[in-house]
Amino acid sequence: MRMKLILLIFVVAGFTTARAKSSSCVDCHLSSDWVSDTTIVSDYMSGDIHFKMGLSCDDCHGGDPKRGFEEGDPDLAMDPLKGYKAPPSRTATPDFCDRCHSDIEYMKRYNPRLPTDQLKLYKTSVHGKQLYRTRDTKVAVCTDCHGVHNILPSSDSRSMIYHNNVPETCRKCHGSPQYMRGYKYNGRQIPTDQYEEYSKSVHGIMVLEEGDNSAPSCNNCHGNHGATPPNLISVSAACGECHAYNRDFFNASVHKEVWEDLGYPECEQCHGNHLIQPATEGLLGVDEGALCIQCHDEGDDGYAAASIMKAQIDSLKHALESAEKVAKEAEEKGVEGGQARFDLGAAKDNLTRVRSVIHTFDPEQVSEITSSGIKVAHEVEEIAELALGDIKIRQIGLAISLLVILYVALILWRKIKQVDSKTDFVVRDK
Amino acid sequence: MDLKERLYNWWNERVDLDNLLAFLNHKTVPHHRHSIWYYVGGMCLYLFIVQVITGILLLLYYKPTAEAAYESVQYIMTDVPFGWLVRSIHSYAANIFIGLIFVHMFSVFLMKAYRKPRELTWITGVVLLLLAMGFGFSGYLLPWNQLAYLATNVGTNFAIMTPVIGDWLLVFLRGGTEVTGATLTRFFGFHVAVLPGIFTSVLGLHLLFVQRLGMSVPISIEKEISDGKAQREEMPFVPNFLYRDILGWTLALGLIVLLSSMFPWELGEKADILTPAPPHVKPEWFFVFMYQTLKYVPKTIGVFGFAIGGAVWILLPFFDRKSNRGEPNKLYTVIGVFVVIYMVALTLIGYLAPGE
Repeated sequence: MRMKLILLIFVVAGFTTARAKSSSCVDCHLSSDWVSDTTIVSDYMSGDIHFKMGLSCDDCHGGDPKRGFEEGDPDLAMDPLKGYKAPPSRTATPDFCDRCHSDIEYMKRYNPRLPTDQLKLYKTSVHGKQLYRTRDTKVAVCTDCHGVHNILPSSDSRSMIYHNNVPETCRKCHGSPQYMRGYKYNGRQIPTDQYEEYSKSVHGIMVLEEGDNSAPSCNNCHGNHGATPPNLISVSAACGECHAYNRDFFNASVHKEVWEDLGYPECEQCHGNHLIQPATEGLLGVDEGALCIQCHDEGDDGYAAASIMKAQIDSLKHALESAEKVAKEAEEKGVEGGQARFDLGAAKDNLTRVRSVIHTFDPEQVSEITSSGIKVAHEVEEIAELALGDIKIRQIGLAISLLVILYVALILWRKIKQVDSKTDFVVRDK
Repeated sequence: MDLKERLYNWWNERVDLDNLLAFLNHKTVPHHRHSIWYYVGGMCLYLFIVQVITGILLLLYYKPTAEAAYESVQYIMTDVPFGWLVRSIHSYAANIFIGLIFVHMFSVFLMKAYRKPRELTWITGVVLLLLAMGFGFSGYLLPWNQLAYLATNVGTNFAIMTPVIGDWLLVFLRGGTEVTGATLTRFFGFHVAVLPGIFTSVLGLHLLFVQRLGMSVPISIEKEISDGKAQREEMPFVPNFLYRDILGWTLALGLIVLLSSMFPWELGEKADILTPAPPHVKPEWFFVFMYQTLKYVPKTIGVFGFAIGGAVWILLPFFDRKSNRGEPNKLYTVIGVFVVIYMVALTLIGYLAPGE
């Protein structure tokens, strides 16, 4: 109770300091005698970005709170003739926010970097189309993702639109079969297991478990205000935002045109969408589990190419493993291995590169990378083997040296015994 | 007259070999149950010579700049014939050298060999230990690897606690406010020019004092002789003592070669100024007891305490009047044993419980 009182004092003091002219809204909205929900004010003042920027109730809702306060009449404060706007309905919400957020001049005063085309984009989104065309109020509007009186910037980790919180925010609607019932895309019911799949994917694990902001969240592929599923030919563009080399290689490859003709969704065809798993060499080739053989049969060019590329990458991996093993052994036996580590690092870069280059589906280009990597790995292995041979010579040299040293020591020991036997150590008085 | 005789005569006419040989033939060393400690000094001298020889060989390839130092040591370790052996011997011998100087010092201390008239031998000996630690400290940085870089950062930082001249001393040691390539070049200068010059001079004095005064006989042995419980014994320096010395040196060479061949001295990663220091960075082992102490006491007091302690230690012969009178002094023995235990314990804590 005491804490609440202190908080209230701070809230009121803060508000009056921030915007003294608007105090009448606070007076009434903090009192349960006047309003049923008294949390609006504390919500707003506990960090809403608009409050931080110095905006008050009447900046969005209009009216004349000063007069209402002075004359003790809430109706005067909320006088429509003075521009008062009641909380908007869901269908009116986007336009309500848009009054300021599309005004470039106005927004420049607060955040010049914030885009002002949110409503325009929203109207192109599945959500926006649904809202404006069919007046469907179940679709997401601004407040569903941003909040109402507790709007936080996307950089705030408590915000619903903070990168790592976006999946949970989308899940509120898209994870509910009841809520999503009846919503279709391309004639099919929209699934509601995206979050479950995403949370098990390579991207989801990075975002949700490792807190890695560099991995994509829902909006990175689907957009945010203009949210829409990437269509067949824009999948590689979405993935290519991050996997740029893979996109470029794919777009220049033989598969691009063929897949367009076949209606295959580019990257998604092999890697899936929400449940994307770490890509391994197992996806390539003609062995069990490989994806190439889903389309290519033995005897066709693609089958042969897949087989060759897989063999090339396996050879590189094998060469790297072998070189690393010998280099490690040499290093453990005391040979300085800095250069070998450096060279092997460069050869390993080739493996990383070739994992991207396979999206050309061209054995020649793949071979170029794997061959140079294999060459370096073999060179390292050769040097490491020479070094191991050198170690054997060292050990033989050591054994001979120690034998000589021990022999000399033995002679000295005998000499000592010899001279000691002839020496009288006792000092006699002269 | 055969060639050998003619050569002898040629030299004898110029440097009076007869006199030298007569001196060597008459030179003796006390012989008793504690005589073994006499060999430690000679072993230190031998290791110093090993350091000079291997150091000169390393100088042929080493490049003292931040850009080239690491690579040049890498080249020595991989491409120069027997470079790995020479560098490993230099590193192992350096550490054994410093360890044995400590052993030599404490054996001298516990036998009260510093007592009158050997005060100057003691003082020059302690100065040689400090110079050897300076060799170790400056040489450690020269391969310009990450561990050495961080340890030098930690080590040179203590200079700032020197009263009045702390800031100046830090800049003087580092060649700037930070450890950079300028520090490396500076340490190289200390390691191969300044310190060897001073060390050789002080070593000359130390050997001169040893030669002029001979070896000290422990008070307890002297007492036994004066009480008639034992006879005074002496060993001819040539050949009895010298043979033993050479035997020790031969075995030491075997040990160093064995270590160098089986476990060549590591080079580590190249120093990277931008890499953050890992936890528990330590200076070289012979500084760890001081470094660990400074974790428990305020640094200024600690540094001041070590400075005072060092000064008292070096002037010890002038305080220990009882030993100077030839009487046993158990208090000093207890102090010596305590100092040894303290140094060993703090060093072990530093390595086994680095977080403490």
